[in-house]
Amino acid sequence: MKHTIAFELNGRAVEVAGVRSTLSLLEMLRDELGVTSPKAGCLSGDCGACNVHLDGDVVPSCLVLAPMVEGRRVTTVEGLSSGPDDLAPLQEAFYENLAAQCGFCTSGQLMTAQALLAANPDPTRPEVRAWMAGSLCRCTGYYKIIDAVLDAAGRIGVGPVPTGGRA
Amino acid sequence: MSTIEAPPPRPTSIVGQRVLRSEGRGLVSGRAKYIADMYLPGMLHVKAKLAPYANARILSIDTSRAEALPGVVTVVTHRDVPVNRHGLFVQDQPVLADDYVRHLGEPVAAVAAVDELTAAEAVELIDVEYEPLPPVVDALEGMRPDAPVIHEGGNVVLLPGYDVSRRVRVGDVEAAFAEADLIVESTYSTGVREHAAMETHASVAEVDGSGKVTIYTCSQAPHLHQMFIAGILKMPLHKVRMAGGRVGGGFGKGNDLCVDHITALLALKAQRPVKWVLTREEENLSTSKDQAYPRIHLKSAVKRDGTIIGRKVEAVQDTGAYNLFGSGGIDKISVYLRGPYNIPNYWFDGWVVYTNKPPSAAMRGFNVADAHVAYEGHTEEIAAALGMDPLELRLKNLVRTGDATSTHGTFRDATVRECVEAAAERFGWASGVRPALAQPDNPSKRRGVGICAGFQGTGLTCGSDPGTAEIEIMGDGSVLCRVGVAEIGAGEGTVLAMIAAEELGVPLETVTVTLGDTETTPFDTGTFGNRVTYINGQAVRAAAQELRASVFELVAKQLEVDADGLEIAEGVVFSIKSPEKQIALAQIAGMAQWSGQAPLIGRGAYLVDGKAFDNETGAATPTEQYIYACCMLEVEVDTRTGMVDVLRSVLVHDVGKAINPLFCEGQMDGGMAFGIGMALLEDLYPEYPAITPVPRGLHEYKLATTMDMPDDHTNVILEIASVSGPFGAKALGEYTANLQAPAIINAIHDATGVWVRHVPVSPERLLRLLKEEGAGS
Repeated sequence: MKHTIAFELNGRAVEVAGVRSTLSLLEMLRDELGVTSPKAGCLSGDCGACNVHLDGDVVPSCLVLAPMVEGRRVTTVEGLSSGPDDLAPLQEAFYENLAAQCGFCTSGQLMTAQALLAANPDPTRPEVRAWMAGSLCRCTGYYKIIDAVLDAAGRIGVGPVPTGGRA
Repeated sequence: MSTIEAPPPRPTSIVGQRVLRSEGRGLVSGRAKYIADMYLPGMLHVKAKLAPYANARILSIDTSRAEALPGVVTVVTHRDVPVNRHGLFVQDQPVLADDYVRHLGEPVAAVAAVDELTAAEAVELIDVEYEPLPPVVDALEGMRPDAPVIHEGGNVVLLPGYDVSRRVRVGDVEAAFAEADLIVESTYSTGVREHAAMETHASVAEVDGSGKVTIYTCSQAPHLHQMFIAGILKMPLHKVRMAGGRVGGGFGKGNDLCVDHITALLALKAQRPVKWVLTREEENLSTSKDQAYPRIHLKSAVKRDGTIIGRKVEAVQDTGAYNLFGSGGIDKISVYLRGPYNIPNYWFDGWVVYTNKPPSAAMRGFNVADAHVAYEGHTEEIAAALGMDPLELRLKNLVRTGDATSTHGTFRDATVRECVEAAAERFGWASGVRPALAQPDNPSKRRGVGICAGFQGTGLTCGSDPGTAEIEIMGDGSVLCRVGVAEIGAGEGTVLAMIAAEELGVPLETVTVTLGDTETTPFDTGTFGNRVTYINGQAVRAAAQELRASVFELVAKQLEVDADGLEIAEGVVFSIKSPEKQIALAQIAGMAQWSGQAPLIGRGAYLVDGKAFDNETGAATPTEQYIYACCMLEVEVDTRTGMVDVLRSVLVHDVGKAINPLFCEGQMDGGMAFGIGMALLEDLYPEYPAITPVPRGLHEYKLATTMDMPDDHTNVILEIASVSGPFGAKALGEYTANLQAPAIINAIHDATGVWVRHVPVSPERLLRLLKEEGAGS
């Protein structure tokens, strides 16, 4: 059975026709809509590389069936800013802290972190660490990702910018 | 050794800075494209038929039902492959299996169809008849004369005329044993790891109607793979283009051919673009892996004062179903099993053994990680046998500049001692005085400390390992640097841009580096083995120097001054004696472009000084530049659950000159995660000797997460200049992941008294060891 899915993507109304029941949100975003920021890291919800927001909550888009987003609000990294020259504070913080090396996990890291800061604008380092535990990275060793999230928290205005130490 | 002129004697303004990556904004914008993000019109999707047996004769392959399925455009088998054997050292690996399948997941056929579901369905319709055979799972079993034979010529890859794959004979180890006060013997082993980059293998291939095939690749070695694929397809190199792009993590996954040769084949047969992205399950099952060592046996002759006077080593390497890089690996491990210790008598015998497991190729650590586990665990055992502090024992034996190497050479700049001393100072370990630890009140939690000291070389071991670069000044003065390595995430492009800008005398933002396309970059062996900064950095400098000479010749005529008296700074060429005589690079380049001058292109190459092994003595020059490091860390072992927590750590690397200290930190942080994974988490065969099922995803093949990292980690970057590296730089990258596993097993021993002689040490394995040996005091 094929569906037509109408939903809001990064603030705009979109409609995708000919969607089979078993198509994942990840596949629909990437293959049908050209939104390639979420990546297929594992296809089993274990790595976080495909994380997007569904009505503001972090979801692994590889495990969300496309028909489930009918009438709902999906946000991806493409919705955080209009491009490399106009980055959101969280993205600037990732850039300046070298939180991305190969960059493959970065979109998922950003969406996960964004949700944390929306819910908890002044997180502690242990809170960031625990929240981000489901976002795997093979390159960075995580320290600079956590630094970037704390740095962004400071930039967004609430709470001090951390200066060092990793306790 | 190639020589490049020393850099101009002025303080560097770009090299040494914490410069952000030129592609950094793109990476965080979500708009950076990887191979899997490519969508070409009319593109077909690929699925492969993978072998369900570890060892089987192929009796027949029938693709007719698959070809008849609507939506299937083409199917390939070995019959479509012009030359169906390839390999770096031994050409024993098929593109698509023909006579036998020799490992689970080996590709037998491949389908290109209009979508992935159709391709997957078609794969099910390919009928392959097998005669299953008993598999060789264990390399030690594979060495036995009665073992099933995987390759003609036997399961052991022997040097002609020898009964080993590599041997080293330095001094007289038997005499050392006779003279020893104490002999310490131990056997270590390592498990098989998977690269597990966040990106799985992806490949897009297309043809252009002129007979040329272009492969958009995540290869780390585009030029090498162009060479292999051209050989397989029996095509000239200029008809095969590897268009290297952004790689979502290397770690060696891109140093051998897994997908590109098959997509090329399909694109040529279908005459349409094809795209193949492996699932994580397929990645874990069928791609090449890390060499594992089921047995590394060390026997050391020790004097009571702690001097190690002799060592005899036997190492058996499990190379999997095809040689791939196995022979290079046994060479490499022979160099490092003596450790960074000045042991005058050293004998090594090593064997590369085929098994019916996926072929082992290149993975971060590459046999050297295994060596570190073995020799540093062994060092701890020596210390315990002598009742000596482990730091004191190391300081007694660490090599110094001028000492002999393990392969009949001389250390020209050994700085391991400085690394160990810096680590000890930062970590709080005075020689002879173990750091005081706050043991938890709960008696089932024990804390301990461990050390790993070591070294590793840059580039291919003993191989001819040319690094090249081209730099062009465009008509508006902007600079384009072309290098044939891949950007795998360490900031390779930015580092090379920094070196180019510094050497040329132009602002960094005027330099762009393009990497990895075989059509636009000169031949290079690629990104691996700590090599890019050192080898390609020198090639970039050489290219910049040639370019400066061309520019000065033009400017000298233009300004009517001596070419010798010119300099470039901030993109302006000026006379040193009369600086008011100057011209912007942009201007001279524009003039040159329109006045019929040859293009302003500088070319550079750097060939490291390496010498291949003498099969009898093991004499070799494995590398030109060694890099040295030390890791100290503290763990807490929960003796009820077997879980190990790394509490705090110090990692020291001597990088010669940190071209970009921010990037060095990134590599060292990343190495911590990788090494912790090797020690505690990553096991492709958790039920070994059962080799099926293979972990299907990242819930079963466990990678380090944020929660596995020590709360308190410190990187210490030492800068003790290299005499031959760019601006004094040595190297970094791969090596940062080799120091942790040995330090962890040593710390576990310190905490519990248990000797851990195999990695990974899972909680179950540690509990079993604790039960057998009893938790220590």
